[in-house]
Amino acid sequence: MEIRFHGRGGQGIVVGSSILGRAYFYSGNQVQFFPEFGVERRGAPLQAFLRVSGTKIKEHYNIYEPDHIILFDSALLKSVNVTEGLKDGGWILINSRKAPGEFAFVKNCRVATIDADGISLENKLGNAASPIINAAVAGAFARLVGILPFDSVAKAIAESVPAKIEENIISAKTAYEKVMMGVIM
Amino acid sequence: MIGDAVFKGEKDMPEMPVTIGKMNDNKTGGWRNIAPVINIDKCSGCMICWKFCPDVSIQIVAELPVINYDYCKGCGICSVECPKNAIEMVVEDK
Amino acid sequence: MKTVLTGNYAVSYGAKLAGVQVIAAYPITPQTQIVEKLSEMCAKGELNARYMNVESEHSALAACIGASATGARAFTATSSHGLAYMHELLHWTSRARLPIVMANVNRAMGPGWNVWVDQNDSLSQRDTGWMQVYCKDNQEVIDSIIMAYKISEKVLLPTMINLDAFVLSHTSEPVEIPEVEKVKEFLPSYSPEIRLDIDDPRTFGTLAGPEVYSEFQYKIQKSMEDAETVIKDTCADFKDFFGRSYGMVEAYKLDDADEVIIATSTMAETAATAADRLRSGGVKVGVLRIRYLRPFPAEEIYGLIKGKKRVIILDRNISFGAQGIFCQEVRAGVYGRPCAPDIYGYILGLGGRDVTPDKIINIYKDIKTSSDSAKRMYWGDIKL
Repeated sequence: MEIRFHGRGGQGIVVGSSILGRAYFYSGNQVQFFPEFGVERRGAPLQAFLRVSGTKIKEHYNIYEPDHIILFDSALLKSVNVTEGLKDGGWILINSRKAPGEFAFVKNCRVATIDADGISLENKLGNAASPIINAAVAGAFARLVGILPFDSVAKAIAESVPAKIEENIISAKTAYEKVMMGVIM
Repeated sequence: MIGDAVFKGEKDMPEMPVTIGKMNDNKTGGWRNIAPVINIDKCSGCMICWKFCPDVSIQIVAELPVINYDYCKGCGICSVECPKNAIEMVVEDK
Repeated sequence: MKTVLTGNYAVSYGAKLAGVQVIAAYPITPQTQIVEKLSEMCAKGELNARYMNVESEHSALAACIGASATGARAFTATSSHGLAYMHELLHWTSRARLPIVMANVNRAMGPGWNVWVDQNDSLSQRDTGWMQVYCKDNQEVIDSIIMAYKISEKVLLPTMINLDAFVLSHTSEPVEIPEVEKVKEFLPSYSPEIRLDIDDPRTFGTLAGPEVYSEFQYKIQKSMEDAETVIKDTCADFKDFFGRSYGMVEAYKLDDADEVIIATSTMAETAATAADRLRSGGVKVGVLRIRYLRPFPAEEIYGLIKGKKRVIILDRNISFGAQGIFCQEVRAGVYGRPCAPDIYGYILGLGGRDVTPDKIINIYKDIKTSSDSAKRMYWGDIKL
């Protein structure tokens, strides 16, 4: 399974990929995750990648045809072709208050949404200008693919976030429960 | 290689270029053409000659400089630097 | 303990497990996290080593040279221009026979300014007398650091462990961290016969005129040749202790292969993926990964490729005016030998350009149609 994360520099997609990557590792998988290689620029569109497999991962190149997409910032839909290469029937998880049905994609994909901004702010993670949403997004994704026990997510959060571990776990748990899954478009 | 060691081949050489003994074994006094001689009556004990000697061949004994001719190469720096002109370079009888 | 580590942290944990006593380094992208982690370990007291902040890479290696001469286990890490800046002291380290280990994150040389993977930094240091290892994954990175001290301290020559910029340095993968007690048993403490010792003063790096200089060079060459046995023995030992197997080269599906792709570092794993796909199309392709550049395992490589129809060599580096450097090494190693295969040299992936299995498959198709092995090199992925 290959997952591509889209966000902007500073939104925490690298830690987000680390939470999910470690969660899959703790539930018995081989994993590989890496940020888009290069120089960090706050605010600029950024990608991160995660591979999950039952056997040793030998792929040492970028992900061009992901199974799923995670979008930290729906505003990127205007400037970035986020579904590029997405495989048929893959999930696209969007951080948004909207319902999945309010998004339309040309691709044959499944849309899920989660109000990660809202959940994170309720748990005092970041502020309105820059909420810290990686735990919530990871929690929501854990529910979508259905092979990831929440315990693994909690353990991964404890290892990946530098502070407020409890708040992050609560935030992820809430997102796990509240994620809105749309039908195949 | 410093000292008396002469190597017949690579087997009796150390792995890296390192001296067998100390630098003390290398008596460089034999390189000298002219020798510094200190006129102790003129010497103020300022230690400038001690400080400048590039071969550490001047020792201070009872607050006055003494030249160690085993190592002095006869460069003459002490003689030039001495503010009291107390050091003269003289041709040695060898 | 199995955990998830980036290549950079795998280096830091490897150095910690090896019980390094002196670390002197200067930060450079993409190596910085290695030395940040080590300085953090020292500050927290998890690692009982002297961490020296220095003003340049030249000083970093100079400090390691002084430390190693006293018999301390010394470590440094750098990348690209930092390695180039160490050049003079790279020669000094090996000619002074000091078993220093360093990690070098393979990064392109500028300009154009480029922080991405490319092997021209370490390959430019080919002739400095360092043993050089190229790693394919983060597990190999941590294991190689530990093995390198054992090998270096036996043959009295330094080792450079190379890992791909970002593709390993910033990529997280599962890594088994060996147990500290077991590493201590595997890697005994270092105690050189001749060391910088104030109670037994000697001059180090002394004058060595024409009457002895050649013999010193002979001894280095002989040690490099003997190192092949030491490396193989140490790898066998490592397998007994930790269960993981390494060598100077790694063969993938070579036994029945008609054609061989030779590659290094992570690109060799990508080549293995390409070989699997080609095999499913009915052609018998294998992969030979070269792990050691120095000492260069020419005999072993010849033994594995003689009698094969064709060999493709993938180089993420170039010696301008000549060809890919690993290609040149392999050609020199098999030249004039019976049943040497036709060799096709390809250069690709420079400055971090992504290398996918598709790219390698295209190169394979290319040699079947248009390429001539008499030509010294081809470009594998250039826009013309």
